Amino acid sequence: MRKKNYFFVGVLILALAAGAIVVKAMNKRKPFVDTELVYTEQSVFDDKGNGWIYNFEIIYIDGEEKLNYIFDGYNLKYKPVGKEYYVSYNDLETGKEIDRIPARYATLSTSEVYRNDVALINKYFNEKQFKNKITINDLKDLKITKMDKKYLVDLFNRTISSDIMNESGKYIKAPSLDIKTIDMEDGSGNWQIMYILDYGYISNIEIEFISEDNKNLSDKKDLSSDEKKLLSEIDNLEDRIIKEQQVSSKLVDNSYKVINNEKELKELLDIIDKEVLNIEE
Amino acid sequence: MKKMPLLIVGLYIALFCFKINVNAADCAYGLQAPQIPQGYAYNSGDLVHLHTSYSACKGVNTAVYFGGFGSLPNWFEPTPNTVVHGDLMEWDPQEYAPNETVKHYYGTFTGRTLTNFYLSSTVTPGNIDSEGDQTCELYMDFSISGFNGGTPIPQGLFYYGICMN
Repeated sequence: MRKKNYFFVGVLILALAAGAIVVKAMNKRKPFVDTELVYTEQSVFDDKGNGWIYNFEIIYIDGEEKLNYIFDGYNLKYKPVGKEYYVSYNDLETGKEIDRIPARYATLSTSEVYRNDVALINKYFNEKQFKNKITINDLKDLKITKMDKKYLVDLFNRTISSDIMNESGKYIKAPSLDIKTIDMEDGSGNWQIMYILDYGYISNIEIEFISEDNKNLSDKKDLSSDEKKLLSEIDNLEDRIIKEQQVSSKLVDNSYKVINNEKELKELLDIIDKEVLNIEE
Repeated sequence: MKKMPLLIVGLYIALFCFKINVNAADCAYGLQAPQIPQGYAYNSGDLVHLHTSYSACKGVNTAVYFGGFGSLPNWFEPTPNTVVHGDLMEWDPQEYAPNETVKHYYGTFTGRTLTNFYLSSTVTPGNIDSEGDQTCELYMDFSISGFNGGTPIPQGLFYYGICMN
């Protein structure tokens, strides 16, 4: 009887040890999705209004101890004009800035106003390698002047508490951020679509009608009832694109009474689908 | 009022000088960045033939302009150490190989966004072709830090132009 008990206890200890090894292996973050994707990530995207999306990402790269921290903001509503948003081109031999190359997208990291703060924030988080929630005291050595530290703490804490993404979406090969426009045949303006991808998923998308005098319809104050209907349908369509993770004129069914007449917008949706999101290398 | 003729003459001289400068530089614009391999491999852009107004092609008289920066594919995660390298090269026929590196450029990222580009060094400031040969054959080599043998960044990440004075 005693021998049986020893045997039972022995088996139990072995089973517990094996279980502990399996649990430990499962907890080890193994960032592998397919042959190209060698990372998993946590991310939060905040809609800050007027087209601005602020984003924090924590990236776990396969085989690397150091985590990668990314903070930036992207504007999906307005294309940058002039050199307010720029890539700095410097000559290291003379120490002079050769040129400020206009950026294709408005981002905080290319902004004349915020670029220094954003560079410092990225550097700071990558040096500190925070792995748990932080307080404002953890940012005491971060010397920034434009960005709000309280907001950064909140954004980071929400990111570090979010689920780890390890199954990528179908658009993982597409550009992370892109913009396309199409002119109206009658010369009344153009349609513009800009999106952000997160781990292969459409995270945010903005559809805008821009009149010939370069004004966004969504900024117009005295809207006609038709224009109100159009904007409401656009909001609905944006939500549907994110929910269904597809961009296509096929989404514009009979329930979209106004957009259904917008031939150019439907064409643009298909261009985004075929020429941007599903492009084959 | 007396200053007006002087102003016109000054303006004419300024415009004339500007025209000379523009004419002196032979440029190839709108070149699309090719597929950019990760790690130590590199890929070459289009070869361009440019005319120099000097007696020979000199490295110091070259210039490269960048623009139209797109975004990286979603699968590529730039780290704080990610760098895009670009070498301006002078092409030589096989009997005069290897090709010469003229200038070295690199670009850095803030998060996912390319925010800075640098001309880091002029490797060959002097003659890059024989004296008397005024046709300069130039191209760019590109690479990006990452995993050796990793999937390359698709072509068209940015555009560039090469000029020769």
